[in-house]
Amino acid sequence: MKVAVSVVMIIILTSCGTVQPLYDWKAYENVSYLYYKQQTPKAEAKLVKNFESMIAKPGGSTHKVPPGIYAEYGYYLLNHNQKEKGLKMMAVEIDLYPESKSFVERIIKQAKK
Amino acid sequence: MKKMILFCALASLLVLTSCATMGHMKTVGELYPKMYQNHPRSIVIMPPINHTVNVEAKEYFYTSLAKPLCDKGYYVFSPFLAMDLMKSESAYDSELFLKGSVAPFRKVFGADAALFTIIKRWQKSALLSTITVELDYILKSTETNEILFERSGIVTKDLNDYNSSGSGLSALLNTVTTMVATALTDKVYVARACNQYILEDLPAGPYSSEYQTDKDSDASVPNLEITIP
Repeated sequence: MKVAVSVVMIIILTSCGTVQPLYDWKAYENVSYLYYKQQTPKAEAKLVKNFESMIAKPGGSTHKVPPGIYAEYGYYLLNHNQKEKGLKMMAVEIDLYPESKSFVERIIKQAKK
Repeated sequence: MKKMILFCALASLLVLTSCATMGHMKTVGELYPKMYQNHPRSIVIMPPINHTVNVEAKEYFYTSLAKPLCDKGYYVFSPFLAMDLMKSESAYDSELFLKGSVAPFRKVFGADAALFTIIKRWQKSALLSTITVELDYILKSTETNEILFERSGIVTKDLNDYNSSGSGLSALLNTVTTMVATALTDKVYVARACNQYILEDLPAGPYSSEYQTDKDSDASVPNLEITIP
């Protein structure tokens, strides 16, 4: 009987809940905000670590890295003397999200200036 | 045993009614029909238009918009990168584009729609111990220049709830610590909450399983006013 009650309780608790989110952002919201606020080495390290972890283990229902993340990390790398890796990331963004093509190409052009 | 059955029945009833909606509600499709005619896939977030004296509000709010829009199923151009590109193209005067044409963002970014936000209030009241943000959201098509989605929200957070436990000196210390340590982060928290509430009624984008099928789901009012604990 206890099992039945537990099951009912679980149904109640989950029935109005949201479906699984499309993406797993890890701590992106906070680390990007902190980096934007103040670009300290510590904030930078956290941001990079979060990019790496989002790319290494994409989650959510899509199992995809969220829109813009490859491009953002790529842009960061381009501006930090890691051109090859940066351009690779940018290319993955276009592959994953074709909508980004003209934007990312422009960003690459701008970074080369 | 009978009690158990009764309990389960009551619980089921709760489930069935708690998610139900109030009468006379409009559907998302009725309120935002142009979203279903225009079906935008990608969104560029414009720098917020700030009507407050708080300069920081604009920057912090700008970065908070991408995640909830992506989670709705849209492709969103990274605001950090978009800002750099807009600056280099001298195209960051949002007010100008809100009144005029957003077609350049189709050409330059390949964006289907541009999201404008107006910060009308971003205020912390020490006396009332509340934070209130008032925001307008306007999504414009870069193809037709029409407004596809428009909603506004006034969200107030009651900070007193932080201090509900404890009394006397500890409560007083809590209050002081809360007010000093979180002056800005609280505002960001409230802005994020406002994003969540407002964008809840934005029809789902192409990366969502609900894309084009959420027309008949119930919508909340276009002008939202809410106090969150």
